[in-house]
Amino acid sequence: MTAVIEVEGLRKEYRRWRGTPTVAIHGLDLTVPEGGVFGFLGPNGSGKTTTIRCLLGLVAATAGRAAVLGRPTPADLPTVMRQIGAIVETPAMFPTMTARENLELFGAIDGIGPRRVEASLAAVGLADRADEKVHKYSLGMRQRLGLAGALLKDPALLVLDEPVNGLDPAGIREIRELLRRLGAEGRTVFLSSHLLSEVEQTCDQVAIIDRGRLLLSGRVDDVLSAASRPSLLVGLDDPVAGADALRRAGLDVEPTGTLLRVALAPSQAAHVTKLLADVGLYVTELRPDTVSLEELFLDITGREEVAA
Amino acid sequence: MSAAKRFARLTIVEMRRALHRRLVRWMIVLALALCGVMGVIVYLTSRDPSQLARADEHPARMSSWWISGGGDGILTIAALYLVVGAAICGASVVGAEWRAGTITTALIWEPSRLRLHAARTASAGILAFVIGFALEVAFLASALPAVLLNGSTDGTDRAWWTALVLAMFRIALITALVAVLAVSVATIGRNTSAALVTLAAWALVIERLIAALRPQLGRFMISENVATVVPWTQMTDVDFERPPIVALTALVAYLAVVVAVATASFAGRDVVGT
Repeated sequence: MTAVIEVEGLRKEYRRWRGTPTVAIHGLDLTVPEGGVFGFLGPNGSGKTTTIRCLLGLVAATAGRAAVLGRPTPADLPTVMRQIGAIVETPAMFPTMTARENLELFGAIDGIGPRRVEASLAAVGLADRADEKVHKYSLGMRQRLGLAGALLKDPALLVLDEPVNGLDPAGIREIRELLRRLGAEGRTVFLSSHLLSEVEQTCDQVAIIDRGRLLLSGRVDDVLSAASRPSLLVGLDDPVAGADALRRAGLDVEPTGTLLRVALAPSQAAHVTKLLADVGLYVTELRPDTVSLEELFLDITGREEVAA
Repeated sequence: MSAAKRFARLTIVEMRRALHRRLVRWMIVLALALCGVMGVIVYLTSRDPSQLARADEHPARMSSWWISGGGDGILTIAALYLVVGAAICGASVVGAEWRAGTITTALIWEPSRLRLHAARTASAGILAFVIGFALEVAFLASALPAVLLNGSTDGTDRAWWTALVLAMFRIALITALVAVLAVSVATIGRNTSAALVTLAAWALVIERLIAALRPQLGRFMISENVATVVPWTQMTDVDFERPPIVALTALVAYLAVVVAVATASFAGRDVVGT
């Protein structure tokens, strides 16, 4: 599979007049394959936005190499930018213009006409309010407009930094579906977000960085199943008696909240229910002990807060 | 798309963006309003023929609009407004972009910083020239009713008209150069106020100090060169000689240096924050 983003040993230092430089990215390696939605996660200050800024030529890397759509960046960025749509943090548009005027203005640079502007506005649900001045827009509407701007070029690669910031739950759902659709169309969506459940539901692949270094990368399913323990969670009205019964049968049992964690592959669930039923105990809940992306994120970043 | 075509498109986009700025629009509206007020004043003060006859120069006498050879034609008043307006608008177009974070959006659409900066600089110069020239026309047109109803067109022969049009052209050119200067200074400082304070401090304090302490250095000052280019004649009562063409060349050379510094600064700067 072709890589649309390749980063090797990327390092970014912000120099100060006095004192030591701040290292925002510390030799990052990253490969984003073509097609689908790629989640880019990391705690606050982990270097996500700086990485995106490096990829888009907004800041100059101190060392390392980056390529976007097969071309080195920032050197060849003007050649490939026509195929890249991006929003970085809160997208800034011209406040005294309407949404339509903003898109028409930027579209004019690439010779994009009004039909494409209408399509982009409709795709993000702004068609009805496209003639309002942007300074009257809420944060969520500005996010939508930024996304419309990113879609305007009909890009092969979308680089989106926190695109659902400020959106209400319905808006988040709409954008999630839009991003999934874009990924399914064969485009690549590179999505940086702090909403881990969103990333888990939207992305095919994920990379987690911290302190400017890559901690983990791969398909979401693979990453989660690799991190999951082969165990079952069992709910019982009498967990103490249940734990005794299972231990007597030689199983490793550990209470976790109101449930029991039984060290047994999920495919062996019937064995557990039989053992418990034999001693007159009936399960109220039974499920594989899976790890969520949030748990994995907290585990590998060693942070308590779920933040980006 | 060819590089030239893209540059042309970018320049047009930059002009549209600048014209959408509220400050730019207000400055134009204010200029037109002042033209209207001036027209009324000129008309009212020219109704009394004896009063008109007593005045050495009066806008109701068309020949007062421009006096060749360094006289104070009323067009000089317009030049002052245009230069100040060009500085404010030029600096604000760039400063506001850094403040609002739209510079990030602009670079996402045009990653070539050199092209973006060149287009922005060119658009500022072109717009300032065109608006400046148009406002000069409006300014002079406001005095036309007084000229036609109360004043006279005596002394406005072909040579006078040529001199007037050339003067208007030079004033528009100076307006464009100041706009480009303001864009460049604001690009270096990324801030409207800082750019305006820098320009004002240079023109009103530093140059005046140098001119007072070292009069022979006056020929290198921006203000002196502007004051030579607009009337297109050597300044009198100064300790130096400065032919107009040398003054214009000096202004263009100074501007080229500032534009080069601004371009280098913009090309190498990290764009962080929104």
